[in-house]
Order: sequence, then C-alpha cells, then structure tokens
Amino acid sequence: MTVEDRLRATSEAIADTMRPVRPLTLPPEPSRQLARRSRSRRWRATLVPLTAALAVLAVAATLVAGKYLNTARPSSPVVPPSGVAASAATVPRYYVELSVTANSSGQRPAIVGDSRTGEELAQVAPPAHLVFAGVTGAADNRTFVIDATSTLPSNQGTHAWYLLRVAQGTGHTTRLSRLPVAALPGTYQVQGLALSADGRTLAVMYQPATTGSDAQGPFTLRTYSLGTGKTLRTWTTPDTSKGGVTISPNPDNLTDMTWASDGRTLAFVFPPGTWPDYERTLDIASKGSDLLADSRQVLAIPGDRHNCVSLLLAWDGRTMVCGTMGNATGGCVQEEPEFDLYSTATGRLTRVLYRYRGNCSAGIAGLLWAGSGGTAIGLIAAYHNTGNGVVTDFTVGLLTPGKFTPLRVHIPVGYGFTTGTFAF
Amino acid sequence: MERLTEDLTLQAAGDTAKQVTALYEEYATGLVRLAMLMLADQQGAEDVVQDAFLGLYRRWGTLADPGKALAYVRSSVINGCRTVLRKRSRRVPLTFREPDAESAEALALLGEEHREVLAALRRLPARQREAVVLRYCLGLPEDDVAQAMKISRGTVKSASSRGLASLARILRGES
Repeated sequence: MTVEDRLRATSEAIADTMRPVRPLTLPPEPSRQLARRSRSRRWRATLVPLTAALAVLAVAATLVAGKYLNTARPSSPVVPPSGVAASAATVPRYYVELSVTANSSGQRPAIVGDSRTGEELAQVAPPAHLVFAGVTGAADNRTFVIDATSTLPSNQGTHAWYLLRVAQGTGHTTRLSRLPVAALPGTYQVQGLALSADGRTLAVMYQPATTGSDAQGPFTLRTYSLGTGKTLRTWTTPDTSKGGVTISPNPDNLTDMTWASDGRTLAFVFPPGTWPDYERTLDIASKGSDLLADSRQVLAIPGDRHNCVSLLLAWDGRTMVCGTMGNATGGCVQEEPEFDLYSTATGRLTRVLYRYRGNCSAGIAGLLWAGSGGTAIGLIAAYHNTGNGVVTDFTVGLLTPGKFTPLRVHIPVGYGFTTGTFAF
Repeated sequence: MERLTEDLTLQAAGDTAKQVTALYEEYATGLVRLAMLMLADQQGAEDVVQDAFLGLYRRWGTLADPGKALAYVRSSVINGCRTVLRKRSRRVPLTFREPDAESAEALALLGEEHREVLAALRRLPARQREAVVLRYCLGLPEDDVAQAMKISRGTVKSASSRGLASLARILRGES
C-alpha cells in the first residue's frame, strides 16, 4: 500500500468513525438593529421642515453631547501618584479582567477586581453589539483603555476605543466612555495594545486580517493622543505577506507591548506568536517611521528552555521580565517554570527572580504586570495529572527578587496567558 | 419606500442565514474531517468549522463572489486549525492536554494503522502537513490547495511532495 493509499484510507476511516456533526449555531438576526436605524432615519426626516433655528440648536446640542457625553477626554493628564513608578514594592490594587465566558445575560463583561481583598468590585458590560477584545492600564491604576469590537455584520470587527475609569473613593465607581480615537476597521487584527504610564498616549499595533480569521502583511504601530484622539506617530514594517508569514488571531497584545515609565520607550515581542522570542524597543521620540529599522533588538532568547510565555519591559526600561514554561518529561521537578530578569542593555539574564518548586506535572509562569527593579505580578499555572484528567491550579502573586507573595486575584478558567486580556 | 427598505433588509439577513446554513449542511462533514486530520480531535474540529461558518455569515455581504464561499470557509478552517495548534504548542504543555472522551473513543475506533498515519502527520512541518492533507487525504486539485493555503501552486507541489516523502520515512521507521 502506498503512502497516498494509506492517507486516503485514514481519511475515509475518520469519516466512518465521526459522530454526527452538530448543527450550525448562528447569532440572533442582526436585522432588528438595522431596522431600528431605518426607523430612526425616518423620524429624523420629519424634523426637516422645522425652522432653521431649531436645526442649528439641534446640531449644536449634538456637538455638545458628542463632545462631553459620547467621548471621553481625560480632563487632566493622569499623573502617576508620586513614587509609583519608582517604588518596587507597590502593588497595584485594581485590575480589569476581560471575561472569557459569557454571564447569564450572554455578555462577556470586563470585571474590575481588588487584588488586596480578592473582591469583585464591578462588572462592566460591553456597549450594545460590541465585545471586549483587549485592555491596558495606566500607572495610576484607575485608568484603563479597552478595545471593543463590533459584532454587527455591517462593520464586523471594527475596533472602537473606550476609557474605563475607576473613581477615587471607597465606592469604586466605574465609568465606561467612548474615546475620540478613530475606529480601526475590522479588517485589521490588533496585535499590540499599551497605554502609557501617564495615561495620555495609546499605542496600538495592528495587521491586516485578510479573511477575518487570520492576519498577515505589514504591521503598523500608531500612537494616539487620548485627549484629542489624534494620531501622533505611525511606524510600519515592510509587507511580509508575500513571504508567507501568517500570524493567527489572538486577543490583543500578543506582542506583549509595554511602555517604560519615561513615556518614550515602547517594547514589544517581534514577530509575535513564534518562538524563539525577540524583544525590541522603540524610542517614539526618535525620527523615522520604519518599525524594524528604527527600533532596536534588545533580547534574543537563547533557546527553548528559556522561551517566554510572556515577556514584559519593566517600568524602569532597564530590565525585562520573562515567564517560562516547565514542560520536561519529568515535570516541574525536572524543569521548573520560572520568572527571569534580563537586562535591556546587554540582553543577558541578570537573575532568576523566582523559580516554582512545587510539585506539578507541568507548569507555566505567565506575567500580568511589570513594575521596576524586578517587581512584577506573575501567574503560576501548575498542571497535575490525576489519572482521571488534568487539574490546573492558578496562583497569582507579587514577584520580588526571590519571593512570590500570593495575591487574591481571580483567574478565570480558560485564561490564555495573553496580557491583553488582563490589566493592572 | 422606508418600509420596503426595512423589509428588504430583514429579508436579506434571513436569506444570508439560510444560504450559510445550506452551505454548512452540505460541506460541514467534509470540513470537520479536514480539521480532524489536522487536530485529531472532533470537538476541536467542529469548533473550528463553526467559527469559519460564523465568519462567513458575518462577512457574507462583503464577499465579492458568493460562489467562492466554500474556498473562503476552507481557508478559514485551515487558519483556525493553525491557531489551535499554535495555541496548543505555545500555551499548554503538549503532554497535558485533555482530549475529549468522545475524540479519544473515536481515535481508538480508528485502528492502529490509521492512528499511526495521524501521528506521522502531526510530525510534519505545518505547511507540509496542510498540503498533504488537502492534496492527498481530501483529493483537492493543486489550485484549490493553493487557494486554501494562500500559497502559490509551485509551493503546493514542493510542500506536498516533500511532505509525502517525509511521511513515508516516518511510517517506514515506525512499522
């Protein structure tokens, strides 16, 4: 029997042993929304005969509403509390987690939690016909930007940008409002999302999504002013689509894009989604618009053993924290998941921040946030093979050199170790 | 006129669902088989195919040629499988994935000789595996394989012939 014959026989055998395929489940008809829009247009048409003065007033009112209600402009720059950027031991209190499962209302909310108490403070529902796709936070730990993508067929996947604020005070009131940053068409896949420490600048890296389920072609990095919504700078890579480079869809920030606290250094893993990892930094104040030529490679992970599940630039811009996977045959005892600290100046491993020495069949060290001086918030996923299946234990903790202090942060089942779904 | 527009809009949305569902009923089994050859997991294969059809439903209005819907979905399934495989390799240790019980049972029913072929396929580089599955397991013409994988016909030829040679070597070594 030739290899071709064996392949055909296996294909047929699979067809014979498959259970019946489940029926297709489509979302509810989108047409009602479209119909509502038509009715709204008809209602507006009846206003046309009204006086010019009324029309002017209506336009003015719309503009005012647009300015002060529908869009959010931080009234003042978000200044990190003094010492936040420098203090090694500060634990950010609030976190925003994009839920991976739907609640009883069928929505996947953003959950605002308190890392000190483990309390869930608020559930923020996405606006109608939107799903949350990525989140990033500023240094004040109360300002977050969320990428929300449209579910409407007419503008499927279009990215709109929202500001989520946790108000001062004990009420932990949250407010979600639309930012004036221009929407990004659904034909693009966001691969990087990072809000600067002062909360003034949003960096977004994206790629064309050619079929809606993949992304390939040149990367674009843009920085936007949160106050005005204007594009500040743009960088691009050469078109890689002809080279066969294909990046699969993932939640935002597969590149682990991070800002240093200086407000001008951006770091990102490039290319994303492949091993080994290469970290680059970009000085956004320097000239040029070529993402690769004008940025600098600061780290090339030496081998499989040290590949990073997540890799974040520390706020000081001088170090990078990497969470590794322990995946040897002998389990965690033979190869422990660990958090490593690298120097951006030399690209060398400066120290192992923490090595998990618990008993597990395999483990992953992921990162949720990086501060300065080797301070970070990490996540250890320990897999235990019980014989009846695999049980996973998630532990979130504050990393300081040599120590891992558990925090009360809830990690949802199905968490995918992507920094864009979790922000401090 | 407004009323008519509304009715047409509603009708168009209903028609899209019907057309996509009809395509699903006709081609889902074959596409799930394709995904199973890649993933060796029916649950995962069905998820990938459902996602591909959901994508088709959402983008139906933007398709330049609805006659190419099958090619679009096939390409989406390939991409979906790539994603699943990449996530498996990157995010979860290979030896600690939880296979769904029914998939495990289905694999057991397949028989040793076919399990060997699936295992050998998994050892091929991604591009060779895709080309071999599309070309030889599903019997697609080279042009269709090229379209599904978004590569040139020449690359399909070289990837599938290299894949076949590697597969023969792997299978010879195992038997």
